[in-house]
Amino acid sequence: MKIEVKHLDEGKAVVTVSGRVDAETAPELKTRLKDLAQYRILQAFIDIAEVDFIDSSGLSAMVSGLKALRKHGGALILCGPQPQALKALRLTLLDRVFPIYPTLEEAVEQASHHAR
Amino acid sequence: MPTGLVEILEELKAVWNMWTDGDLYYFEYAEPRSLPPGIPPALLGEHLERRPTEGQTMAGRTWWVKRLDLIPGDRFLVLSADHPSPSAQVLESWAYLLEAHFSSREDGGGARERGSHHDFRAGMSDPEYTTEGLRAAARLLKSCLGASDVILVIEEHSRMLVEGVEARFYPRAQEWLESAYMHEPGAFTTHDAGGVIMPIRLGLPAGSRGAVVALMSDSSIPVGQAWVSDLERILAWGFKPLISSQQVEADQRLRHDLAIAANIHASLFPARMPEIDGMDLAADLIPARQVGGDFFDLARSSEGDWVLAVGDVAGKGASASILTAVVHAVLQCESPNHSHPGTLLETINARLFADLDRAETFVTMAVGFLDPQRGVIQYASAGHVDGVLWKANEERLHPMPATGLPLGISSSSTYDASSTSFDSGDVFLLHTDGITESEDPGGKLLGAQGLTDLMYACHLAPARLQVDSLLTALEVHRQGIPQRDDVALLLCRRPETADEGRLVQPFVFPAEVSSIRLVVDLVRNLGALRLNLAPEIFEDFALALAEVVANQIKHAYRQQSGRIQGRLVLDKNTLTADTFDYGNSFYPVVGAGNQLDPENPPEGGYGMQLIDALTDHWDYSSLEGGRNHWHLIKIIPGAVKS
Repeated sequence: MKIEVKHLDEGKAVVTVSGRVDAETAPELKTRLKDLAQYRILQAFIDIAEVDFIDSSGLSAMVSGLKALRKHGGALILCGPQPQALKALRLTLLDRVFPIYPTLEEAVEQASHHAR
Repeated sequence: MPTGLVEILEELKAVWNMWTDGDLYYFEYAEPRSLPPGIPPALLGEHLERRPTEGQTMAGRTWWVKRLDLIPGDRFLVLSADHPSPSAQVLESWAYLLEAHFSSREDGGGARERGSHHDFRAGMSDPEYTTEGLRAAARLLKSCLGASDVILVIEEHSRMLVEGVEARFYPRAQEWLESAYMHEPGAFTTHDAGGVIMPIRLGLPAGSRGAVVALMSDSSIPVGQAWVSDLERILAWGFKPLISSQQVEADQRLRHDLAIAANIHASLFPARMPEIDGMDLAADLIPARQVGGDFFDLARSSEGDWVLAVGDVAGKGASASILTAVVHAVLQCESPNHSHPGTLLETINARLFADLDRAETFVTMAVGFLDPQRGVIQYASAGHVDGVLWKANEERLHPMPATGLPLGISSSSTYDASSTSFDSGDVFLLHTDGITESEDPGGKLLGAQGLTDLMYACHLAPARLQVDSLLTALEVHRQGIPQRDDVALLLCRRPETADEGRLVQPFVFPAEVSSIRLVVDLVRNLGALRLNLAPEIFEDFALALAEVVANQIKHAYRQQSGRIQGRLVLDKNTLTADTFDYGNSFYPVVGAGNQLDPENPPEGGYGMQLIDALTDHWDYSSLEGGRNHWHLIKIIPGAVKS
């Protein structure tokens, strides 16, 4: 698993995750997502287009990140999930918790549209 | 009396070498374009090799490394001189040096194997003795070097423990260990001498017991003849001399002879398994040392049955190995005269008794006469560890106990034989006690139960895959500690019609989160072999199984070490997985997922939900003997034709 965090302006950040998010790697994702809360990020776009496997510990890490962001009114948006990730989100009903967009671009565009 | 730096190092090397057959490194760094004070440039030019190509420039400093030409071995004294005395940098330098050293070793490939550590180990009767020797050497160096730091690396349960890093250097030491090596997080403990002990996994050659690293904080080395001879005295007390100069030649000769013996031993026994009509056969032999006393053998009986034999000559090493050659010869010679394994053992015993009695040793051996046409095995065993018969129709393992005394105990031993049907799907395994008596670092045996579970996981697989899985299981069980006993095994499976179109993949993993990746790969690989099936089947199953294995690691073993084993089976209608652990039992509860509150989702507990949703059936049972079993089934959608 690889994680890259890019801070955009206006309290936005893009977190690009690639590889496998499983019990071995999820703790790091959790830490990195919780760190975003310290920067008072309002919109965290998690680009998981390159994640080819995610398990329950990966899902839990994202829920923890979301909860940390929500404390100051922030949101966590999932972008580009592959079928495997989408299925895991659907089966755990977490697709009702996270806004999910097919691509990062669409998510960012939609978000700025709403902001206007 | 040595005065110069290099002379002292040479002297030190000579002493160290005399007792430890080890390496000595002298290592130092200097600021760019400046030389360490106290070392004349001429000396550097002459004795230190500058190797900038090997990445010796680090953190803005240039490093010189001089390897004094020593025999590759398993002991090293690393001397580091630096100026001024930044101890964190000293640690850094040491980490760097060791890393460079070991990575070049790894690259050397065969050089690592050729090292003399086998001989060193053979010469050590008591590992504690060595440890004490190293500790004493470290104490001496510390007292001689005044304010310098001395780090001692010792082996304990196959881990290298770094002792004596002073507490004030601890955070920095932890940092470089994290960057340079794997260590066990949270396993740092305080040493009674005020330092800390850090377990690390250095790539030390097998058999290494440790190293003393003296870090000199001042380049004007305050050492002389006095402490060199003190070191000599301490090493003489702590180590058994390995190779005194008079012994070198004899030692080389012995090594040569042992290599020949190992070759002979290996060539005596079948290198390739014969093709037996309607049977699937595999065998392996892994001696704990260069040569051993375990063996397997194949021959033909007077009736044309296949004679399958596995045995163990009491004792280890060369003497046991020589006797295996004798047993082999008699077995090959006598088998064609017998139609019954009991009479074969009686004859072998009668012929070998005098030799074994004189050598004050004995041999255990199990023999099966396999008639592939009739599907019958006749079995007799001279005091050997129980053979194993897996009966497919009962899904159960039958132990096959000894039917008489070991060979060499009584000149007139007699042996009964049992006869049993060997049907489709049955597995017959002969092995030596190196399997069931294999110990983990805590001294726990794999045991008969462990073997039974392994056989359950393996028995559907081809013979070679089963043998490989058993050997892998032993490795996982040992968790890195060296193999103490020889292992020989011979396995025969009778294929069944259900094998057609069925893929079986046994697995054994250590209970570590890094294994989850392997589990996912295993399921995906199975999918890659069945391209006519939808990849989604395998993706779903990979996730479900990954969740189960994560559960076993987190809840059954609670992050303690352990073994997870099982099998994947893909046939026309189903994909199934069985996995066993030996940890705490578990109460699987599938959360009421549809009641999830989007405003307050839980930060965990999704695993069981996924297992439940992604499989067509799952169950968990806590079995007797502290074992747990998970069983997952996914039905292959009916539309698919194979």
